[in-house]
Amino acid sequence: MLFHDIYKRPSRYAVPALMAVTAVWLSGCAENGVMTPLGPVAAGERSHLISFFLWMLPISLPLLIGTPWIALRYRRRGGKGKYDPNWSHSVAAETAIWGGATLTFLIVGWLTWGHVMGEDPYKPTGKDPIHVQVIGSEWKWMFIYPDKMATVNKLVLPQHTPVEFDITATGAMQSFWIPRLAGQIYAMPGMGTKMNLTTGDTTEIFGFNSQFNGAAFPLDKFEVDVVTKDQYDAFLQEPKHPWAQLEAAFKKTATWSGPELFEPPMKDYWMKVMMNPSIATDGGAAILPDNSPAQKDIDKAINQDLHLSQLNGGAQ
Amino acid sequence: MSILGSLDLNDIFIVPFLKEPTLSTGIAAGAGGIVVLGALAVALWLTVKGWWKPLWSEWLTSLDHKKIGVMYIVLAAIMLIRGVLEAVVMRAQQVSPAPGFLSVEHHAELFSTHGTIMIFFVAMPFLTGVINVVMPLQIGARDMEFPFMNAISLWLSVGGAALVMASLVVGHFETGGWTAYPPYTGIKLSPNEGVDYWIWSLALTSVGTTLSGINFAVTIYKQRAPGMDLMKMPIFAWTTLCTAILMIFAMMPLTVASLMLALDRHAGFHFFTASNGGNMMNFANMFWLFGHPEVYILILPAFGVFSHVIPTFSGKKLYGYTSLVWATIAIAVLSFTVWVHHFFTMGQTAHLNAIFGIATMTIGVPTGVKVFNWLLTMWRGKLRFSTAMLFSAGFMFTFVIGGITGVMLANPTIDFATHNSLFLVAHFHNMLIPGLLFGMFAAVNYWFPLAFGFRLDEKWGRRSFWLWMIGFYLAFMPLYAIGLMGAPRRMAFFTDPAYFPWLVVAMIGALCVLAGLTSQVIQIWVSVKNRESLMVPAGDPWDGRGLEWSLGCPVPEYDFTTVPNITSREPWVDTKAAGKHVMDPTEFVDIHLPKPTGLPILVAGVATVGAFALIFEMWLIAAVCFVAMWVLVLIRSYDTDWEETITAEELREGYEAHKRLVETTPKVSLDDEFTSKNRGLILEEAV
Repeated sequence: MLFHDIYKRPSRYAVPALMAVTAVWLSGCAENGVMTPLGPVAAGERSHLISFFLWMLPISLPLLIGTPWIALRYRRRGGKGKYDPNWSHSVAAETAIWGGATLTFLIVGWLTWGHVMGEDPYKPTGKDPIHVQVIGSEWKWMFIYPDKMATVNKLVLPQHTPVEFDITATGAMQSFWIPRLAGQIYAMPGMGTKMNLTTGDTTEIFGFNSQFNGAAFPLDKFEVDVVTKDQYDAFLQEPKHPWAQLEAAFKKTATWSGPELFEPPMKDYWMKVMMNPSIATDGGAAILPDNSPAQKDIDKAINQDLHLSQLNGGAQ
Repeated sequence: MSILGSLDLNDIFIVPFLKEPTLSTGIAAGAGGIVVLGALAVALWLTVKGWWKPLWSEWLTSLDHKKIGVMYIVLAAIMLIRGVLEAVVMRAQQVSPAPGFLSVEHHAELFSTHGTIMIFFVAMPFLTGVINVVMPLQIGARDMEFPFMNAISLWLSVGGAALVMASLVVGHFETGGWTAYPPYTGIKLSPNEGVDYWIWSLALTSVGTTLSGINFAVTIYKQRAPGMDLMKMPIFAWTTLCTAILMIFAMMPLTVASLMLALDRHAGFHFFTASNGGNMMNFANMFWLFGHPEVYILILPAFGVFSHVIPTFSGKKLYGYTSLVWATIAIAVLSFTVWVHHFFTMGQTAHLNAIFGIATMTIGVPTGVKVFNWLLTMWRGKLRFSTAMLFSAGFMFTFVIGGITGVMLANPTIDFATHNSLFLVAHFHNMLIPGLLFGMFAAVNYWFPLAFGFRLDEKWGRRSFWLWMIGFYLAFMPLYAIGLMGAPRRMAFFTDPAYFPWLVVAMIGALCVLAGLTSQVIQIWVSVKNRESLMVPAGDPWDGRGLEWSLGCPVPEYDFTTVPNITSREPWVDTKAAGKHVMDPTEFVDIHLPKPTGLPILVAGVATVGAFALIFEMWLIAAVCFVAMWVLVLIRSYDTDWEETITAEELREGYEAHKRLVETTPKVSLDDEFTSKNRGLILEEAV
């Protein structure tokens, strides 16, 4: 019956359906995404996203409105349109179509060049950025503040400050992403990549790996605390565990539940890991039989994490 | 080492469940069980009905392009059912309380097989099948240029699909997604046979596809009816030609990359490992050098389908033929210049990203032009909303939304914020479900009578359209939203409660799509049951415009009794305008068609067994199969008795019979198009 109705009287259903889709679209912004940015880089990405969406409308709306409109107007039974079976070419229409499409392309192409040059992740976002070295691993992240400190799964940054990350990985390829501060860059074993961003106001958010890398992928995330400059200085002075302890444990453990703050490693440790990832970990084991002890540990870690997220009311 | 290589008891689907019964292993065992029982049930059914022999002699050994095309589509349909069911299971996993009922690994196998199956064993066989059935009929050819090779292509694809199905029963599939990026898929991080399943099933089907590409291109170059120059070719033949060229050049990098990965895994090479000079970035580069043209291999044939369905059901000439041809060529050429947009986040320079981003946007120009052309074809037409037309109109609307997000993603800075997220997943489903599946569904509904002689049931067809359409929006619009909220793809479960309502909507959408697919199964069933009242023996049931509709339905083995002379783009429309319903015969001559042969199925069967042996490191068996495969090809090469003749007399009788049928069939008005009065020869106004 419903099908029959829709087929006979499409207009009655089209409008509410369209409005529902639009509502879904517009409300598509919440917690940990680019639509609620906390720094200028992510804010730039959001504005590019919105501007591109709007620039696509002039060429898309004629199609989105025209398709249902023409379908109704020229339907064989009950349509009002004129019939012209041999009309198949029009210089004016060709010019408008090719011209409109090309013009849209020129605009978005031009904008793209500006966007990409303006937000090159390799270009520092300000004077004297803080350097943080990043090592992604299965399924944990090590951050090195050169000569000051090393942390696991915890990234602390001062507010309104440019930061430059040097990124590498061990094991599988990963993608380093803090959506509310900046878009992602791959972390790859044997390769070094860079990402620059400027922090915003103080906040507690999280970043994660977005490239699937095996059994504990859902746990592959880290805390990001943006703090005041004083808090940041105090953070660097906090008591630390010895580096040797981190080095030994990082190699063995799949997921991390131990202490977070450590003495810094030797000066060029990050560079050595980039050249030879196996000095940081054994490369983990992405595929584990369901009944292996390591898989049991991961299952336990997953359940622990879920328990924690429930205690926090689900907020990350 | 044992002759059975690395195969052991734990690889049999039921054993892990017996050892440790959980819901996750239970589902895996159930899926394996369905494959085994399904195969047994089909075998039993064929035996009871006594259909083995006709199946073998009329279908499996046939070199007729129409039958090969139908078998391709059957393969695609079977794999589509599995792909959609997997999608439903994944949606269910994400709405059930975390961590869900599947292990992370099992979920990873599901999204990897879902992607691999949908691209390589649904989309590719589907479009290859439609091309096989339709393209020769549109250009006035009697068969493909290389019918034997055509059958080899088919059975290699079937072999690849069989391996993916076998992975449910024996061992595991790969877990690194359909792209299988190393080093995750290297031997160290993925030591089991899963990645080898991926490599060898793709190797079989990619060789098959390359051969298909060669076959299609040569057929179009050499077999067109006299007078049909390139600019008189139907648009579907044009899109086939461009797809074929893409197949020839684009499949190679995939075959090479996957074989290099195999060498890395089993022969100690270091192409893609981080140590000893290897670099996984090369894999991404080569994979997408294939992967991006592949997107247009998938979408161009559907563009061709729409270019025929829309004019036919608008009762109007196609708008902007020349425009469409040049847009097709432009898309085919540009498709080779944009692959870096799949990895903007790999850390290359801003200039490189900007250039590839802008190159990507150039493809939007010809693609946008095409959609406008179809819209202007509908303008000033008289539209009839058959199932095929509904799918076409649904495509036009939905595809534009995918186009908007596509141009957004082509901007590298936006890509940084949406790559690897569900926004991206929503985007490519938004392109491929309308841009490929809707096109193929339209093609099946439109051209079905050519292969089987009867129309498909319209009522169930329209139901399936609405379910697919609504299901698509419910399933993927939420993913756009939560993608922007920072939800990464390939996640086994989410702990953020903000995603939950969206995932529930997506789940409902997936069920809706499943209902759409079920309607299509019912549609086929009902149509077969009522085939007598749906028969259109006189052909041309939709007031069609192409050469293929000048033939009776089903089309006889030899296609054309005489090869027509072509003087315009729409010779069949001209014939009808002159008041005739049969094209004038040219010269009746003896023709030679290839005899049915079981060799293609044997060659591909041996190749498949060999591939299975490689997966489980049974090197001896693999070597034997490799030799046997080439021996079989050699045997064919020395076979001189491979043709059968259809005499000019038989063709003349065929022509006379068709002419008598047409003369005695009453002409029916378009008002009765979807009723049982339609026995073919539908006309604007009844004569």
